[in-house]
Amino acid sequence: MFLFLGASLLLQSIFGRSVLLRLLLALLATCALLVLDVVQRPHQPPPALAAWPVTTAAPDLSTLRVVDRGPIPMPEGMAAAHASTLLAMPAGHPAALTVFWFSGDRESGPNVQIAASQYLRATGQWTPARFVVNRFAMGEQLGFGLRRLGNPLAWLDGDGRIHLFVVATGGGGWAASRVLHLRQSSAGSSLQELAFAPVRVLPLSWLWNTSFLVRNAPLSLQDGGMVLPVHFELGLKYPVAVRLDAQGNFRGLERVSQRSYALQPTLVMQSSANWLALMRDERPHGKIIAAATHDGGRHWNDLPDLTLDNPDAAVAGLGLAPGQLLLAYNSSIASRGTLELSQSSDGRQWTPVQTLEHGAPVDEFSYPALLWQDGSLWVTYTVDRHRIAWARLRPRAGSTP
Amino acid sequence: MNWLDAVSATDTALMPTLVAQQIWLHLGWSVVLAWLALVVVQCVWPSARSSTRLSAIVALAVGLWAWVPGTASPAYWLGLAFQAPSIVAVLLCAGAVVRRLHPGVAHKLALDDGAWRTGDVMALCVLGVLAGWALLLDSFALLPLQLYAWGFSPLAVGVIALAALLPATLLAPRGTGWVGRVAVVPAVLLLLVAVHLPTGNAWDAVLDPWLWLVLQFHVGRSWWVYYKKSSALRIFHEG
Repeated sequence: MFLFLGASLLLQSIFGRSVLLRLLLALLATCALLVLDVVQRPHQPPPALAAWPVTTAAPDLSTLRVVDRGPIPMPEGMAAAHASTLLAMPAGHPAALTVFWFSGDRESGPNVQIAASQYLRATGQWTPARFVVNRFAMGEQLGFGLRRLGNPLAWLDGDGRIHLFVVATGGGGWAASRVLHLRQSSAGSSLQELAFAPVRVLPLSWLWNTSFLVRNAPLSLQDGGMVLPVHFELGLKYPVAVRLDAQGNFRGLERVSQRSYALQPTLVMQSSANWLALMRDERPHGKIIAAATHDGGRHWNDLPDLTLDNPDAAVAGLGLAPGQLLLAYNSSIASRGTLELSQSSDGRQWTPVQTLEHGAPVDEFSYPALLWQDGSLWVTYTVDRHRIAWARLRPRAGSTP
Repeated sequence: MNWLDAVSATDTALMPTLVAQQIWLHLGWSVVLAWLALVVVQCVWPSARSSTRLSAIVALAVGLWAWVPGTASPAYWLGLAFQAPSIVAVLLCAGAVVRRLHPGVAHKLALDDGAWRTGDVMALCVLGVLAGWALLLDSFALLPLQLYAWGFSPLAVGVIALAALLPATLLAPRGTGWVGRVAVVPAVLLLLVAVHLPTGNAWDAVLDPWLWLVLQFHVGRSWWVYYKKSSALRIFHEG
């Protein structure tokens, strides 16, 4: 900087008397700055192409039936649980899945932490839950405080390390949220040794970087990277897609919808470059909102709303194979008391596959998460904000679409 | 990939390391707090104006307080609420500290009060105010373009640098310290290019919401003073 100032002052003595020469100097300084910047940067990533989660013969989704279900163990003494997310563990890992959620005395309470449990392949059981992210410990490592923790989201990078993206609020409620990026710091990823260290708070907004939240699973890319759906929710609500490379480095962001009431996008691939974003509708009597991209997330267009009702509740989508899309959602306009699983071939027309939960209007079965692993569809969701439930669905043996 | 693609790409962002961000968080807030402490102590306790040593001790103590680790540090709580200040805000606060403690040095560096009222610096302030409004609208997705996302591109660095240099290039009187006085923003962008602080986004380096509010106050007050002077002159001539 001092060199720059010194050089500028020297040049000023030479050029300072003429506006034209000053202009030339300003242009030269700008060009020098640009060159210095460009040569440091990484190469532009290739176009984002999504990867199918199922690489074998696709099953007949209409034959999916629940084969096992139950509650996921809660951390001892914790009364509140919400916003679960599923992570498929690599083949050969003792656990088939890891589930993360936030838990504490109450939602937004000071002792809320990120809990996790793993579904062990050998026993077919969930391990006792364990807290893996604590806001005080993270605050110490970051150098600044986190007021509360919220929705977590997990992803496995190209090197097999788990990344967590966690809602962490600043000086306010959920509208003052930021997205905290954490990376596995432990050598192993068994639940007992799993530990995380902060990478950074994702820079998503100029306004003190506030009011961006994560909720739904990222879309895996063929280059090992991913696209992380997030949304802004201070007054207006709008969705954004954030791209990260195979090592989890931030690569940029793109607005998904021009609507001001769409939040919690879930990304559903229809082909490698054609994706849908299905979103929660904040409006009363809303429908599930849709947007689409045909160039791997470079440009997005709003689509007409789906015909499916949405009671201002999160939805979870999954593109399993070409023409095989799944969606878990609350199907009643009035409550979150019914949780439905539907399938579609085009993302517009949806056919019910199975009702996952059907309770009274005051009941809540919300914030579903979907994952395909080991030939099964796994679903987790919040029950009455007190616990997380899971279900495993399998297609009928030998069925093909 | 051609040159134009490389310059306009918004997906080649370079981020600072966590350690660099932590250092900047404490350094940035320590300078801002030192300036605030000076302002407060010299307002509340007028005799401190004449005692440079006393003012310097207060500023130093408050500045060092920001380096205390953990929850005892104001940086811990300011970071919680506002993240880190922009580099421009920190440099301006550092300049203001120098101006209050060493007015002679400030004059030599063209950092004295008069510099703030020159046409080229005022133009820069107005640009900052307008950019802040655009970024605020962009935060709420009320602009057709994505201004903050564009701040990750090299082009943003170049355009902001050129925009910051143009007022001085076109408006500064001949022979004045025009480069030194308005080199703050380009120097900040050079720092951004070198260390990518505070977030890797050019906007976060040159303008934060607090600085934007201060600029609005400065521009508004200057316009009001100018308006009142003009009115007084008109009344004088008409009378």
